[in-house]
Amino acid sequence: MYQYSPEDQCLVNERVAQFRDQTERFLAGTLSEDEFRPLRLMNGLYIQRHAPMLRVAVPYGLLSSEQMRMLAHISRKYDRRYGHLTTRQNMQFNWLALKDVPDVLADLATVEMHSIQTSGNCIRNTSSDQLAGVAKDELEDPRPYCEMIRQWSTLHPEFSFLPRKFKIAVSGSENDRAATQVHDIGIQLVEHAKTKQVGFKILVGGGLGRTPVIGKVIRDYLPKKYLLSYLEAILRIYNLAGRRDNKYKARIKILVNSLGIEEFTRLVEEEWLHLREGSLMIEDASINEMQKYFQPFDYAKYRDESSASSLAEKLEASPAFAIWYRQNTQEHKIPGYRVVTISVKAPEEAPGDMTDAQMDGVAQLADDYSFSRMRVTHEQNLVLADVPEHKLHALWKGLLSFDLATPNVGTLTDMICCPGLDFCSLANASSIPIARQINDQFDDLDYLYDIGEIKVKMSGCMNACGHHHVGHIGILGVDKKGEEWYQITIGGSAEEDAALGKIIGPSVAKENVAETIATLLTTYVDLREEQETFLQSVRRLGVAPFKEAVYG
Amino acid sequence: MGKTIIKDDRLVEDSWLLDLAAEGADTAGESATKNRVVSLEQWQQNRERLLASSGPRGVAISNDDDVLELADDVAHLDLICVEFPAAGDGRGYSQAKLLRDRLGFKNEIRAIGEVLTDQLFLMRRSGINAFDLQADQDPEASLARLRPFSVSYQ
Repeated sequence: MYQYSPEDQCLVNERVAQFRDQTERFLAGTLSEDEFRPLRLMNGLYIQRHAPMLRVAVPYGLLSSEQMRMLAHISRKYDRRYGHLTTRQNMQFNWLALKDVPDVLADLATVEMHSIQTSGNCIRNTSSDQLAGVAKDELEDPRPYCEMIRQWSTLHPEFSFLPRKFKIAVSGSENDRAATQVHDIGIQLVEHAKTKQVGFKILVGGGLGRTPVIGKVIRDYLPKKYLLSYLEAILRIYNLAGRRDNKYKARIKILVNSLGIEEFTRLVEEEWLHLREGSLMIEDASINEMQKYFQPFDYAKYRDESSASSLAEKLEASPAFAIWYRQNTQEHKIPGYRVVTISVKAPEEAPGDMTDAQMDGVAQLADDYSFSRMRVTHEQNLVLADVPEHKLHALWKGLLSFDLATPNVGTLTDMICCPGLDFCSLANASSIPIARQINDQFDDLDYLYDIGEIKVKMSGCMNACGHHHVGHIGILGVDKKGEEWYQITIGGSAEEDAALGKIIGPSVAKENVAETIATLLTTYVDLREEQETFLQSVRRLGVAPFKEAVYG
Repeated sequence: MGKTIIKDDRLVEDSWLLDLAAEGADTAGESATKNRVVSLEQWQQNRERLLASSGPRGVAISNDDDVLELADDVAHLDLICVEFPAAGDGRGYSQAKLLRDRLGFKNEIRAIGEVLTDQLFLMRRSGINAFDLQADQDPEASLARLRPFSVSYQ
């Protein structure tokens, strides 16, 4: 994991001091609301329905147990003893007092954390694959490049007032778990066809929101050393030419679409010619230095000992453990280890919400079983990436005691869900009550297992924080004359087969959402071919039979 | 008496007159004590005459302008004003960067428009070295906040 240098620490400390000064001037009345707004946004602080909401950056989702304990502490000391995991792998707090925020930031700084650029029209937290470094299908660990991008983009003087927010994701694997195709810039590590050197494929202009677009390839192959100069060229073209007259037309996807990808590429490549051999060049030595922070742990060779048989015994003895094992753990590149997904989707809780006790609990479990590290996933769960097989049972018991062992990862109730109308001042409709409704309707786990892998994604408004466009089933809350209605899409995906979902028909009333999903699933079960997932069925059959089933 | 601006980390009295609404460059005589700044369009239309005149020359670019059009002019200019029509409009940062890095402009780049205390450090780091603050901003307080960071990544 990256460790701050004295300079990194200094910058974060000075950012705290700067924000303290800004907040004090605002509270004293010498800084106007209009002037303060962009300043607080640049630090992840929104004014929401009930109180300010602070979004804390978790760079590419990676946390130490010490950092997780600090998040628990903050929720206890300044908030209402819980936090919320976001689709950018961050954590946000919903009930802070503005006057406390500088102290919160100072506390965060003691564990190398901050909230810089978690909001505002700037380059946001770079997100990545939650399996980075442990996935078998990985070409190379993407996190060193994420950290380079984090540093390059932090307080970037030229790109702090872009036309609109800007999101970058990096994937080190062909199986895209970082949703790179729906980012302003998506970066995929690839091997050069001839030289076999690892470099980057760069996509641009993807995104969700009001105008969902799948990203387009701007460069098939970029040598590593040019990563930052190329990003700088893209950002400069966007900063100068992106629309600023209408915030709904201001994302880079609109610029790319209006110029056409060929012309946009030409402009970027021309700009890049001036930058590529300059100070942004990344030397091999810098890459090596950065990679040192993300080396594999000192894994023990458990496999040839008794670990496998001890696991087998436990699986035999406890069906509940066996189900959790099947559903919430997956292969690790090192035999004898498993990757554990901690479901933060207990049926009775808001998706992605964690109490302080759960945060502390997970931190302890990470200390005990997974090298004191954890990852936040963009699907609003946590991952303990390096758990020895023979410790899985003890870990499971620990998770059970914190109500974090719901064996529903990858199933219908493992939903992405934005805070919605309950918290967010942008929302048109609620999300969390719909998640509850779905959990109430689908409380039979065996049925969920029969349905198999399905990704439900829900947003309370068209800003699409819940990524509804790319859900296998997407749910979008809309306001119709003061009432909450829900538009349902099917067939979306954020992965390597990225696609935007298709609307099945008129939006449905709030009380009918779960029932509508039940109809979609029944249709799938009736029509599926052997081994076919919901998404595959939708792709084979199209929307028509599902539409027919719902609307008659 | 002129207004106070921040230039090269100091408060100074402004010696320039921003006169963008004027028809052309032939209204010399008014405000004889001031050097006049003209718009990019005025500059391009009256380039020969302005180059022939003695005294300092200043051009103000709007944020729709392509600063690279000044490639042949920067050697003859003493001041380029970069406009921030709204504090959230960040095109001026890239324009300043291009003027410095691409065109090698060495003289004064001044931020004009909605120029606010808390953004000066970003402007400064983009190559802007003079700040004509929005009227309600406190010059002393702004000067004190010119360098909130002692380190940077860029």
